[in-house]
Amino acid sequence: MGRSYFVEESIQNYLLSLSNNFNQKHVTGILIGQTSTARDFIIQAIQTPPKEEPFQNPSKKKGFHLDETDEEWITEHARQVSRMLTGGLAILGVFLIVPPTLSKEASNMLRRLVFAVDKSVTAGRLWKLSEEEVYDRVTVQMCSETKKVNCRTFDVKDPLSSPKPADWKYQNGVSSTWPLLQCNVEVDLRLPVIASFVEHDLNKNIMNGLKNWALKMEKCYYLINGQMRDPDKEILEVHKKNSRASAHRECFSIQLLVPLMQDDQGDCMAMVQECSKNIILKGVVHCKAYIHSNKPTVADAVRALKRDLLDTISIRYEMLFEDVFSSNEDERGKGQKIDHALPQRVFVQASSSDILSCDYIFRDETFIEVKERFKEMFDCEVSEDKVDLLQETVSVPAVCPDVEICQEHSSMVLGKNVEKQKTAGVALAIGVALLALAASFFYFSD
Amino acid sequence: MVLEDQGIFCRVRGALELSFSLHSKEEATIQKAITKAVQDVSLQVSSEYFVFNICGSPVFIWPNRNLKITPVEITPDTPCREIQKYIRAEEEESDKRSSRKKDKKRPRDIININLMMEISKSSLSSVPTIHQEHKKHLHVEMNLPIDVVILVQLEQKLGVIVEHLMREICNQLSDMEKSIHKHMKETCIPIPQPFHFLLPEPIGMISVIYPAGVPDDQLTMIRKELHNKFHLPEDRPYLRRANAYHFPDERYKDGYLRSPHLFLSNPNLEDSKLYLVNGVYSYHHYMQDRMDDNGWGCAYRSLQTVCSWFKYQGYTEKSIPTHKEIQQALVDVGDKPKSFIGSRQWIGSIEVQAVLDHLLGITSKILFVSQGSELASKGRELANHFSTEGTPVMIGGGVLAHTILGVAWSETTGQIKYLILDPHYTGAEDLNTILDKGWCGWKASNFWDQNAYYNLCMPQRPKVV
Repeated sequence: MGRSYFVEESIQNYLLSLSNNFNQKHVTGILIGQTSTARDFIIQAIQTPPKEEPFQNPSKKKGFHLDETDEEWITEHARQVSRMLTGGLAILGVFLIVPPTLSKEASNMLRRLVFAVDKSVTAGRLWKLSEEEVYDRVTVQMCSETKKVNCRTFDVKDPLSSPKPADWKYQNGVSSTWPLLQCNVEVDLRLPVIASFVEHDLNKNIMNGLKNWALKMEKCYYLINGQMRDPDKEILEVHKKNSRASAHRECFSIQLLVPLMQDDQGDCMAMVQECSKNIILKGVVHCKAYIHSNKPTVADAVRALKRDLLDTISIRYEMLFEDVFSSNEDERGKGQKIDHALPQRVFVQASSSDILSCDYIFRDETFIEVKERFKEMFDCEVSEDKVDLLQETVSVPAVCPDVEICQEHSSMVLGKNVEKQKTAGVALAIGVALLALAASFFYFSD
Repeated sequence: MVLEDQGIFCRVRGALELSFSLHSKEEATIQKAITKAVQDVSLQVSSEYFVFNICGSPVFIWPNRNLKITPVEITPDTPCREIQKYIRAEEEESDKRSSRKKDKKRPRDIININLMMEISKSSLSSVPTIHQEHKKHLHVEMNLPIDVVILVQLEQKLGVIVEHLMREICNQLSDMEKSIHKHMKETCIPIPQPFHFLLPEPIGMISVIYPAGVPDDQLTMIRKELHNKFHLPEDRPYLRRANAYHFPDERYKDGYLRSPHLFLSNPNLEDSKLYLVNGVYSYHHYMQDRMDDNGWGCAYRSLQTVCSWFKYQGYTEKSIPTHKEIQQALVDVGDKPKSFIGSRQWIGSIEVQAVLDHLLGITSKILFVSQGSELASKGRELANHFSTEGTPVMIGGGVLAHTILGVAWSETTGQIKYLILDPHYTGAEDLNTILDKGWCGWKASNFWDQNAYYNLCMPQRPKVV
């Protein structure tokens, strides 16, 4: 039996309206949701933003095929959107709306896209899906005339997997009762850079540090609303479930505790390493995760939250890497202390449900930039009251003993970033250009 | 033990990371950096995010957050006795033995606590920063293995216990700092490791920090000072690493049974006194270590048991010799030809004496009896041996080899029973079988072959600390 997708009802209208305003050869887009062992949920569909000059290549307009830049464009969109998701949510697949004449070619395109998108959104993650999790990703093909939907899944673990038919059912309020888990987590990472590492290995050095940190986070103990709970029990307790007259979203506050384990490595001496520099990542991040309502266990829920923690660090580090750690910076930085603020996480209600998405803003950015990015990335209008800028506060970094130098440098470095992000379209374009580069260093880091 | 009904142990363990940067290798700089780094660790320990988790229980305690405790039913006034109810029942295996232990020395109950650091914050988040410092330096890092034990009363309030533990953690931290300063050489900084010793009454449990990797024989001065301080006899080790207290909930990793005779009941012998082996040994017998020595290896096994005693009493850090190592030793001292190695030849008490001398530097007295029946009259010698030396005795000769672990002897009637550990056992390490079938048990004089001769190898304790 194939998988069943329970799809938020408003997506039907969204896809219909896309197919009605059909003035292109095709419309592509991504599907956002959550998997569970028995069934998957889709809560949002977003069309790929229109490509702008100079990327549009008129010579390739004849016939139907997605060329490489199209594929890059779509996967980059997916990558950017995946960074804007809160814990538990993921890009689960792609959709394609085509006229009936192109339906044959479309299925090949979808296959290519679903693998490319999955590869792009999972690259750079500090975590991996466990064996027992769902690896099926969905492709949805809609006929622009008959509006017929063809839903199939691919096992992205297996590049040769053949498509399996899946059920596509619309339902109202798919995510309206999904429990929300929240936590503010202190991150205090000390990453000494070993002197024997050559400069281009710096990222590798830092990624190793981040991976070790991620392992430590996975081993964390947790308390749910102040209590230890059996990880195999359902997070929604039965007596509460029954007493609930009207469906509402339950909120859980999570505490994370790092066990200070004794390692039996039999070391006798302190480890002493020669280092060329010291990198300290420090702050408190806000994490959110939603867990589906299909009998999720405590362990499922906490895993989603922990992954949000790992993602919000790796994403921000990635955003800064290019600027902070480029070799030019290094030259100027010799013998100096430099501080860079990571971008601030803000939460945004950008779907018909009240599931929040997020964005990362640099210090000079405001609601305007957030609004523009959501317009482009999420194909939706965001009003100011839907943006929560206050979950994370910006403060003068406490780690830097030499405040004056720090601030000078950070504002300068940040200034550059802000310029780059000024218009979202440009950001995405640059993103595509950098993608190859980004991809290459993640290969390195593996 | 007098302590038996006075309470239970409460043990806190956790590794605290000590790390710092060095910009120079000058002694003074390093010392200063260490002091500063230990201060940073102390700050962590005294922070409100420092957490105790009682092992196997959902109980978490924040010692520095007004003694906040979860679950809420537990308060700082909850007695220790109540806390035990939250700890998940121990594994089945330890229960199996408990029937035997009921009227004997039941292992002391223990509450284990793990240290944790809460990383979630109730306050607002603040956007992280990346701080980079470009400067060549040495990065030094180690884990301080905090391990604190206190004796608590079952009626004692949890809050009082936690405060006591916190004081002990701080004391241990400062002891560790002293140990680091004392034993470091340039950037070779040995990790300070705590060891617990259960000393004779009225001292009880003490903890000592030793630098990792520094062998016991280089720490004699420190031990002498401590012997002095606690008025311990200066002729036997109390504070070597091997003397460290073995907590009842810790399994021996090597799989050998320890001191099985402790689970026997005393023999009925009118007017007699017990004279027993003094300390821990492990039971070595046929077919262990994937070695089929059935029929010839009994003296080797008895020798292994004797060696184990010297090891666990701290007289040697050498491992217990294998059959091959025993044979090699006998070749090395010129007692046997080279072809002896790998053979299945028996050895006797004289060989055991030679090997103990060669491998461990232990001298042994040999007691000879020309007939087994004479052993019945050796009560005084054996009683003396166990009260002064307290080492296991290997007995061999015309027939089989055994280990004597003690005697019950009446000075008035001369009656005697022998506590025998039999190396001819070929089964698994099952305490019940071993005790029930008499592989470890009290034997009367008719146990000995009345007509065969016997040699008793009686190892002498070296006079060291």
